[in-house]
Amino acid sequence: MKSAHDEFSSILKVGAAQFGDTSLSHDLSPVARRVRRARVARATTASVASVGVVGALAFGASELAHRNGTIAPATEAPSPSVSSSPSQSPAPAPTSVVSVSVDVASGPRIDTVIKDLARALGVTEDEARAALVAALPPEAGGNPEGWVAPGEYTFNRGDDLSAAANSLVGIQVSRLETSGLPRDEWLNTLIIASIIEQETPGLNDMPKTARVIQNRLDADMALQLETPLLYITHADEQLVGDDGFNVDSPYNTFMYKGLPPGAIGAPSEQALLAALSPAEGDWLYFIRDPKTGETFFSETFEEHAANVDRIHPGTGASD
Amino acid sequence: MSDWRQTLDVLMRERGSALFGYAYVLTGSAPHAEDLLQDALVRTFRTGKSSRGLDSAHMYVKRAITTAFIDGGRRSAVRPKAADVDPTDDAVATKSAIGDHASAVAATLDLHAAILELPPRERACVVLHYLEDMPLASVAAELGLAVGTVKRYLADAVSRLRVTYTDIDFTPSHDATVRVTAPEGQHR
Repeated sequence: MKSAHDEFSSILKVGAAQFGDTSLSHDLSPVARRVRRARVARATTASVASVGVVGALAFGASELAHRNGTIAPATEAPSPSVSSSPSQSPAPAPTSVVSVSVDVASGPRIDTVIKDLARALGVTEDEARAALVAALPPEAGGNPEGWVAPGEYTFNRGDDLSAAANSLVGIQVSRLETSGLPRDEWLNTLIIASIIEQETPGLNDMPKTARVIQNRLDADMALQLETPLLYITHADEQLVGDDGFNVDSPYNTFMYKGLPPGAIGAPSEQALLAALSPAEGDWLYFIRDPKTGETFFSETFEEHAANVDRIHPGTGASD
Repeated sequence: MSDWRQTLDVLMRERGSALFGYAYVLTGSAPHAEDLLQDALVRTFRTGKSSRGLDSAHMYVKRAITTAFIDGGRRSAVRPKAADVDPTDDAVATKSAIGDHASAVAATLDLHAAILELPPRERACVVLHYLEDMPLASVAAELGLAVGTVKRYLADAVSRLRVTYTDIDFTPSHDATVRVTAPEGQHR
């Protein structure tokens, strides 16, 4: 008498022996592709609504920036003289004040800053970029992204380009200097701060987001954040399909562990402070409710999945 | 490379053929088993479930194979049947020919063909109970069925299989051991 178990086992062996002939045995990339797509789709459901809001803000901010950028019409002071003779003196040259606006709400890329700088000083974008790169500290590795602190910078037409570039970079550098952080940690701190800035709309939540990033890095977990992916795919400026998110880039923190190689926008002072001193906690996950803007932090995947379920009912995250 | 990607690679390198074999028992054909295994891998790795070590990933994938198989059965029930198992085909028609031990593989294929005739849920019950040695309660939990239903499925399936395969012992070994050892230990 043969046992049923043995019979089934031998069927299994017949099957197992054929595994080597399948394409699955030597190429897992179709599986990995489907998994990645499912994961990104899951992660981005949270940010779709907020991208819309950020987009609206960006539009408003660029409208403002354009208005600021236009040269104010020169108004001649009315002559105090009541002399009947018409003034023959040439009109004084209008002092045109132009500003470069780095508005954190719009999370501008360095490209926007460079465009504004070029327009403000009447130079080409290449010249403006070169000046900005030259003004960077060596820690930046030649990538100006993140090194211009958000704010309003005012220049006069005819200002020296390199002086202007230095003042753009100066604030972020002096913040890092006063923090007492070793210089070799400047870049990573700035990168973390730029991610915090994009991930966390609420200032109070920034230190907790900083802790999540730190905990994940410490645990050798992939960050799995969508904002670096949005940055590298320009998803905030154009529509990107599912496959567009499946991009093999060091900014794809679903695909690669660790921090992306550069900042993903301009971090505010609050974000930088959060990156310098994260809150205490064991959180590894967070999700933002796009309706209320509230962020929920959790320590375990199960808690996180429950939060996802609550915020996005029907996605079945806790299955 | 990310956590899950590493786990996936190691899992498939070390347990790939076992998982494939398991899918093969359920589906009865290599291409179907490959599709099923792929679906199960995606189901497992798209969530964080897989990231707690090889054994737990193995367990989750196996479970996903079973559920994906039943889901697939449910879906394909409304579609035209794939004619990969023809009840009038030779393997099934000649299954009563016994005693010829010319090829053990032939006999195995024989039994397999018979199992493949069972509807998906019954098939899953039989495989979990006899191949995986799961007690009825676990089979029920795994498939989301009542224990009574599992019992009925198994009884139906076994009564059909027993008619043809008189030399196979369908006594569930697992349940038997539990019943024998526990009371004797108590009464000395």
